This record gives sequence, C-alpha cells and structure tokens, in this order.
Amino acid sequence: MGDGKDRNSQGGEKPREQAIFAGVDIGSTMTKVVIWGGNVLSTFIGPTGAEYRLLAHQVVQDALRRAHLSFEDLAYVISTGYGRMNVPFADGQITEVTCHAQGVFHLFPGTRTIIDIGGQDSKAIKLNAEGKMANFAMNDKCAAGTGRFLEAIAETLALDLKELGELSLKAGTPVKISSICTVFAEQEVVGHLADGKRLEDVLGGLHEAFASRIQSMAVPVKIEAPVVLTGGGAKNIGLRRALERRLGYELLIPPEPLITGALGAALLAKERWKKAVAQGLPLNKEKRKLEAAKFYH
Amino acid sequence: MDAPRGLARAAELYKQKDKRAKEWKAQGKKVLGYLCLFAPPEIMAAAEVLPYRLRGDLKEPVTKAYEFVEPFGCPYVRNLFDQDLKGKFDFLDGLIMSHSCDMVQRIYGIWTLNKKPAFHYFVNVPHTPAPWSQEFFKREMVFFREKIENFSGNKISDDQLQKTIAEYNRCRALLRKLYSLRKVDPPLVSGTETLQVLVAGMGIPAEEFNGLLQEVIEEISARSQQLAQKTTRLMLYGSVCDDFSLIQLAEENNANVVIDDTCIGTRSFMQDVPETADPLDGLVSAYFTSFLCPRTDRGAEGGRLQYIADLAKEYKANGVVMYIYSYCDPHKFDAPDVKDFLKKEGLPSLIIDDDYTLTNLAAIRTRIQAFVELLG
Amino acid sequence: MSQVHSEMSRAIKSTQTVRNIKKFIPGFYDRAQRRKIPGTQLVWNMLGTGAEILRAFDLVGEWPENYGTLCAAQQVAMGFCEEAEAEGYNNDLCSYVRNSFGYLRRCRDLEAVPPEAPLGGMGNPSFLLGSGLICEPRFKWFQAIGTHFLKVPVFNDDPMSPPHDADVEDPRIAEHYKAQIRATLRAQITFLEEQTGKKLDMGRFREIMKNSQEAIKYWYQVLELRKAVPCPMGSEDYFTAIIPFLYLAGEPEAVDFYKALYEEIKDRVDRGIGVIPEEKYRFVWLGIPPWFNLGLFNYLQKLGAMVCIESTYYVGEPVELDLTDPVEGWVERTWKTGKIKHKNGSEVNPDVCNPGVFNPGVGGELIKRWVSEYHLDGAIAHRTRSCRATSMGQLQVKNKLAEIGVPLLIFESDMVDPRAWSDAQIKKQFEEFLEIVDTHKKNRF
Repeated sequence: MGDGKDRNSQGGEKPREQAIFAGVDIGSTMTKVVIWGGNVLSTFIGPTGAEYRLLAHQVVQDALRRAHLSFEDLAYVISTGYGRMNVPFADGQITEVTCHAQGVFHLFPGTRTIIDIGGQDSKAIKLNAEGKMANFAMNDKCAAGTGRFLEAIAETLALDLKELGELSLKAGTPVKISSICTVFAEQEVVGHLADGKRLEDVLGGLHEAFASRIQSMAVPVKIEAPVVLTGGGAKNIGLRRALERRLGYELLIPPEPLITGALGAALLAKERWKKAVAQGLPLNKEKRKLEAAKFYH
Repeated sequence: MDAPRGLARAAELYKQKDKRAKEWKAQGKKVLGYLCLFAPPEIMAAAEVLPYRLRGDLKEPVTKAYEFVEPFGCPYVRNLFDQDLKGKFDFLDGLIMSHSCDMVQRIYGIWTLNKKPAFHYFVNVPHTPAPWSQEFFKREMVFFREKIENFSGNKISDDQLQKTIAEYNRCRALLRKLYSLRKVDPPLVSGTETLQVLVAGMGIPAEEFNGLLQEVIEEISARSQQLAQKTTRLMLYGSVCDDFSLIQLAEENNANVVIDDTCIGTRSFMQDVPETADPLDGLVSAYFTSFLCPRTDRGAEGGRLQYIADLAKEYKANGVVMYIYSYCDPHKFDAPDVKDFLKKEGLPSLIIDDDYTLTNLAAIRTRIQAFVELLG
Repeated sequence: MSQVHSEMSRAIKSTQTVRNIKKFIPGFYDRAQRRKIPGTQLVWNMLGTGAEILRAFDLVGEWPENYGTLCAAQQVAMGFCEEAEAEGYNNDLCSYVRNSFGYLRRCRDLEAVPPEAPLGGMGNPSFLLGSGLICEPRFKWFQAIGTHFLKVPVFNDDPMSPPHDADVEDPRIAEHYKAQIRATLRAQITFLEEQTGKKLDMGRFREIMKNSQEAIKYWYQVLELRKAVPCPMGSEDYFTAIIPFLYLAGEPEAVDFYKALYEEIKDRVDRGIGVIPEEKYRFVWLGIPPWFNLGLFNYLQKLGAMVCIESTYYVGEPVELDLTDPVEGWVERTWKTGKIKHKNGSEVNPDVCNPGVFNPGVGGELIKRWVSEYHLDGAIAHRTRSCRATSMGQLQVKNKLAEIGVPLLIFESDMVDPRAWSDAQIKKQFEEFLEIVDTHKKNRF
C-alpha cells in the first residue's frame, strides 16, 4: 500500500517481528479460536454443532478474518479439546488440560488451581509454582457437575441459565438436594417446588449440590488458592458464590472464561514453533490447508 | 507360502486365538478353558490337555449374560460369560475356574448351571497365605490333579508333572528375556507387540510358545531400526489387560509401555515354579503363597507396594497407569495406598477406571495424553 | 428424594419384645460407655468371625458394619461416604466400608471424634479381628484400615466354603474343609490370647456355645412361627431382632431375648394375631435392607403386603452339637450348617460355612420350598450396587421362581448411602409389582 506499514497478504496491518499462532479449542458444545501475535489479535467463539469436523476450519477462518489475516500467515497451529484429533490443518494436538493451565497462568500468574466447568465435562487442574501442570482430575462420565446438569434443570423450569444463577443468590434457606444423579436431582427439585418451597431456596440448594460435586471431583488435586474458575460454569454467578462459600475465599474469573483453552493452545503453538526453529526441525505441517476433516478418528 | 514366524505369528494368533486349540481338538485331543491363574495350567498340560486361557472380546457388547447375572461386578468376567452363552467357547471340553475373587466365585454356579458345560471344576483358594491355608491349597492341588486324571483318562505322574513344570519355566525364562529387551530406551519391542505375544501364548501348548518366544527374541534382537524415541516410559498396573487398544493409545501419544504388573503380564511369569521333590509343593508356592495379587490378604501394607515400585524403577518407568475395572474390589481397596506409595517413590500415577470395553475412548485418550504431557 | 423427605425413613415395630430390645441387651447399646472402663480392650470386629469368641475373651466389641447402619439411620452416612471418596476410595466400594473410612478420615483431620458421629464414635481399637468369609471386601477392609488409618494388629480369619458342585458327603472333602475351619479358628484364638494376655477358658467357652445354641433354637422357632396366616412378625422387627444372634451370640441376654420373643410370637399365633389385619400379599425379602428407610416395610403393609421371611441373615436349621470339646463343636456346627445350606442351593452364595451362622442369602431351592411353607405370593429383592456379595444371584433366584410362576421384584438402591434412593421411582415399582402379583395369583388358582 505504500504507507510504510508492514502488511500481511490480505493487506491488513501486521504487527512487527511477530510470528502469528492459532489455538483451536473444539469443545463438545463450543469451538473457540484465539489468534496470537505478541498479544491476542482476535478470538472467535461459535457452537461446535454435530459435525465439528466440518466446521472447525470455518471458525478459524472467521477468527482470521477479524484479524485481517489469512491462513498462510499462521506459523503454527495447535488444536485442543474434545475434537482436537480431527483438525487436519493443526500442526499438533495438546490436551485441554495442559492448554488451560498455560492460558490461565498467562492471565493470572501465580494461579495454583483451575476449575473448568464445561458443557459436558468438568475438570480441576493443579499448577506448580512455575505454572506447569502438576496434577489433574476430570469428570467426563456423568452429567452431574457439568453444564448439562444446569441446562436440564433450566429447561425443566423454563428459565435461562443466567436467571438460574441469579435467582439462587436470593435463597433464604437453601433446600438440601442430596442426589448425585442429574435425573434424581431433577426429581427432587420438582418435588420441592410441588411442596411449595420457594424457587430461590430450591435453586440455592441446587447450586450448593453442584458446588459439592465440583469440590468432590477436585479433591484429588488438593485445591489451593489462588483458584481460577473457567468454562461456561464461570458465567453462572450462583455457582461461583456457592463454590466460594465452600472454599472460604474468592475465585478469580477471566474476562472471557471460555477462551482460556484456546489461548493456552496458541501460546503453546508459539513455544513449539520456537523449539522447532531452535532445533532446525520442520516448522509446520507441509501442505496443510484450511479445510474440513475428511477422516474420522 | 511360508507359515508366519516370530512377531508375525504372534499377531496372527492374537487375531485368531482359538485357531490352535481347534486344531488340537481336531486331532482328537482335549482342551479346557480356564479363568485366572490359580488352577495351574501345568497340571492340565501334564495330562495332555491343552489349557486355554479365556480371553475377552472388547468389541462384543454384553447382552445374553444379563438374562442370568446382574449388570455389575467384574465387567471382564461378564464379558467371558456372555461369550460362552453365545457359543464362542463351544469348542472347549470344559471349564476350570478358581476362587480368584468374589465375582468368579459367585458366577461359577450361575455360569455352570445355565450354560451347562460338559465338564467343570472349581479350584478353591484361601485368602490369606497362612501355613494352614497353604496346606489347604496343597490339598486342592491333589484334588485338582485327580479330577484332571479322571477327565483326561491320563495319569499325571510326579515325573510327568515335573517335566511339564520345567517346560513352563522355560517359557517364563524366555518371557523374562523378552521383557529385558524393553529396559533400554527406546525399548527394542513395543508394548503393543509384547501384548500380542502374551495373548498368543494363552492358547497354544507350552512347547510351541517356547519356540515362538525364541523366534520373537531373535527377531527383535536383530532389528536394525530402533523404535521411535518418546518422552515417557510407562508401567501398566492393574487388572487383566488382554487387548492392546489401551497400550496402543499410550504408544500413539509419545509414550512407550515398557513394563506391567497385570494378570497375563509379569504376574504370570516373573517367578519360576520352584522345582520341588513333590511338584505340587512348587505349584503351591508359585500359584498361591508367592503370587502377588491384591485378592490375597497380605496384612498391612499389602506386602506388594515395594515390589511394584521396584519393578517400575528396574524398567526405568517414569509414570504408572493404573488400569482398574469397575467394581474391582481388590484393586480399588488398594489403590489409594498404591498411589501414595508410588508418589513417595517418585512415580506419578494415573488411575483409569474402565468397564473393559474402553467405551469412552476419547476420554481415556485425553487422560493418558494429559498424563504424558504432565510427565514430559 | 433426599432421605428426610421419605415417609419410609422410620420403621414402626409391632412386637413388644423388639421394641424393648434395649432392656434386654443394654450392653450393646451402651457399648460406648463400656469401653471407657479402664483396662477394657476394644476390638473392631465384623460378621464372620463368630460373636461367641469375643464373649469368651470378655472383649468389648465395635462393629464398623453395624456402625454403618447406625450412621445410615441417623442420616450421617452420606457425609462419611463423601469423605471416603475424597480420600480416594471409589464409590463402587461397599458403603459400610466407605462410611467407616469417611469416619476415620474425619477423626484424623479433626484429631477428635467428629461431632456428627453417633454413639460418640467407634472408640480406639486395640486390634482388629476381621474375616475372609462372606465377601472379600471384609478382609480387604481391615487390611486397608491397618495400612491406611490405624497402626494396630489385624487378624483376618479364613474359613472356606465348598462350591456348589462339590460332594459334601465325601469324607475327604469334609475333612479338607473342616481342617481349614479348625486351623483358622485355632489361629484366631491364638491371636486373641496374644492380644489379651489371657488363655481361652474352655469351660467358659463351652457355656457360651451352649447359650448360643439355645438362643438359636428359640430364634429359629420364631422364624418358623411366621409361617402362620396372618404373619405375626414382619421385617421391620426382624432386622432389629437379628442383633443378638449376630453380635451377642453366647450371652445369656440373647437367650432371654429370643425366649421372650418366641413366647410373644407363639401367643400371637395362638390368638390369630397378625401385624396387619388383612394380608393381600405375602412376600419373601432378599438382600440387605436400606437401613436409612426401614419404614418401607410399614409402607408395604399399608398396601396390604406382608414380608413373612427374609433370606438375608437367615439362621438356618439348628444342628445338635457335642460340646465336650467346644472348639471341635464349633467346627462341627460350621460344617453341618454349611452342608444344610449347600443342599438348599449354594450356587450363588457359596459362603455357607460360617461360624457365626450367618448367611448372606439362601439358595434358590430353599426359597422355592418357602413359597409353599410360608404361603408366599412373590419376592422382593433389594439390589445394592455397593454390595454385590448379597445382591448377586438375585436374578438367578428370580429365574428359579419364575419356573413355578412366582414373580420377583428387583429394586435398586443402597444399604447405607441414601443418595441412591429415589422415593418416587421406588414407590412406583412397588405399585406396579403388586399389580403383577395380582395377575400371577389369578393365574395360579
């Protein structure tokens, strides 16, 4: 363009001396992308849908477009999350456990524990003083303690998730919900409401039970402050308060709790790329193209 | 075309585990299926019966078994029962089970009364290796030998039994030699390949297994190309693992499985049967008194913790995958202490709780990969 | 439904004797006080070792499995189970075990008895006396406590039981099993002598065994009397009435209790008094009950359903014993009762040989006979996922009863962990089952 500014192949402005990396986090419900070049250049969050293998590249395209970049500008791509094995244009796959650790520690240096509450699973990650993953625990077997638990209840009560959390804060005397199974818990909730209990009290008890499940899941990693809460669950104020009450201290919440995995993946992409440069290894997958997966793992 | 040898033969037998047993039967000889390792195969082999260790089928969902048995308890045993109900073991001349654990003890009656095998026998096993319990197990060996003599029509002389034990000990020595090739980094043979060899041995005569092992060892020792260098060396610990899917998952994710403490793995061959004057005494020692399985009460500390850690270190494992079946009481009671002990010895561990079929493969892959990333 | 919401949480007993059980066996209910007496040794024990042996050494006992039932009834078991899971013990494991592990973890973390623990806790045991009988979680239980929580001596006895196809009339087989029963009992005695510094007094032991025999005779008669129509006693009483024979066999108090109970039941039968005036259905019960909801038997009674006999903890026919040598008498009792149960069908619960005359379940053959002897219309089985030892084989019994047109309901929850209970679901299952029983009754007559 002749204005002296460094331009990328699409004519957008390119930050100086920065190689550009992408982290693609394909979760069971949402797909998140972070483009990193010294700082976050763009993020994109979209529903994963049933055929994520067909959509991952589109999400990346959207993120690139926002940053005025093209796929060829990416030096290295790391995929993570549930669908990480089906991203043919990724140069490597790293689990969401390691990626969350990386992303969260970048946002909150000194973090010792991460609790991630996703749509279909939840996990607890312990970090050492250097921010490296030291231990992890997961619940991916049952809905209790995952976003699905609250979604199911929200649907039954014809409320949205945000309302569910906010109403729970108004509980006077939370009603004890003892079931660990989503189906039974739902029955309990309905039963209590039929008995005439206040909706706020029942929801208060429900969030208590949820927090209890999360705490049980996290026990093997020995929760230690500072604790960061990520994932869709972090947006539920009722859950956050219930957990804080249990732990006895405040939780840290990232400004956008859904992208910590993708952020970590992008940062790890940079790390891998630098190592490859230093060791003279191939820098990225040759002939990688931004396209849908044609094969299944 | 030449018959496959070495690892290729092992791979073939892994895919068609009952092939050799059916050939044996076609020669007019007898085959007995067995579950677990308290009824010594040597006693059966000494009577010219082929001992055939039952193997699960990861891909076959359990269906028929639920007409007769509850949908809990060891998923592996349910899988075997289901296969028998579906006729997969009909080529066997009978079934031998032992009091390895509650599940096998409880299902023995349900299994034999509903499937009605032509011949069946239960070897009882005490829970504590006290002197009187050893005497009990010795008497069980006497009864078992008599039963097999009656069944097969062949006398099992002490002399014949000693020869058979010696043959089986040769297998054990060769297996230890094979395993020793995994001590280097990268190991000369992968966990996946090793498991195929172990499974191959489950259904063929000992003499042939010895031949196969010798071929495999020669082949591996002569390999010109090393296996890929990986960041992590893993020990697999826990319940019976007779399918390489889990090991393959680890080996696809920058890890080598270099050693194990599992049922058809080292537990079956790390120690020889002592060659005693009365051969039954040696069998009692190897199959009961010294057999390190959590189903046996060895008092506080379990008597096994140091052994497990030492084995992991001998093979320079830097992490342990504890693979434990749903509802497995013996392992689940021990798990917290095993995990703590390993940690004290500098060995992180990952517990994988599975229903044998690895149904949630993606979740297991994530855990193993995260564990490897943690160790890396 | 949380347990506090269930109308089934409290049982209402119908017999005076059982209602007054605390007067008969005050020591059992006061045991927390007894262990505070200086010089008293506390032993943690379990079913399978035989209560008489504790009596013979004057030991104060505590039973973590019975403690599980107490914690369940007082609604604190759930908390202890969660603690155990936090300690790394998987929730597949027996809930009695998890309850005790959770309690021990709390003791360790608080360095004191947790305030929620009933009876002021389980005391500080000098040693643990466990058993390899009935199920393997038993010996793994005390082995784990000795490794993980308390550094005290542990002894697990190990009597063996023959499989269903063994020939129990073969003298070689009989001697094979008796030798083991004898040896493990002797080893148990040696262990207790070492721990207490006392020698076993054979005279005393003989008297204790005689008491035990007498108590069992009365208790067996009580169960036989329940064949009457209407049935004079239900499971809500049964599951408390078993306490003396399970834990206090050999004490004169146990004899008094069962004698009084026998007299009360005999009187009821003579006068034609039943627990409920109109019995629409008569059932046999299989499995451990949900200890936190024993009121389910009263609930069933409201629907006209009466449980007349239970397979769990069934004492079995008494055998005559020669107690000249009480140790040998014990061995004989174990083997003889074992043989009887073996003949009654031990295909699913082979652990019939039990010095404590305990049996987790009886075989299908005996239950079939009970159908005619107790005039039964059906069976209800409680499938407890965390106790596979007692619930495995219920399907086998169901299939056997189907052969004679008798329906069996299997409903699922847990014996101690209330999280597994769903009031709505279980009530529905009961109602539907009664309809099925109605249909079968019409077809049978």
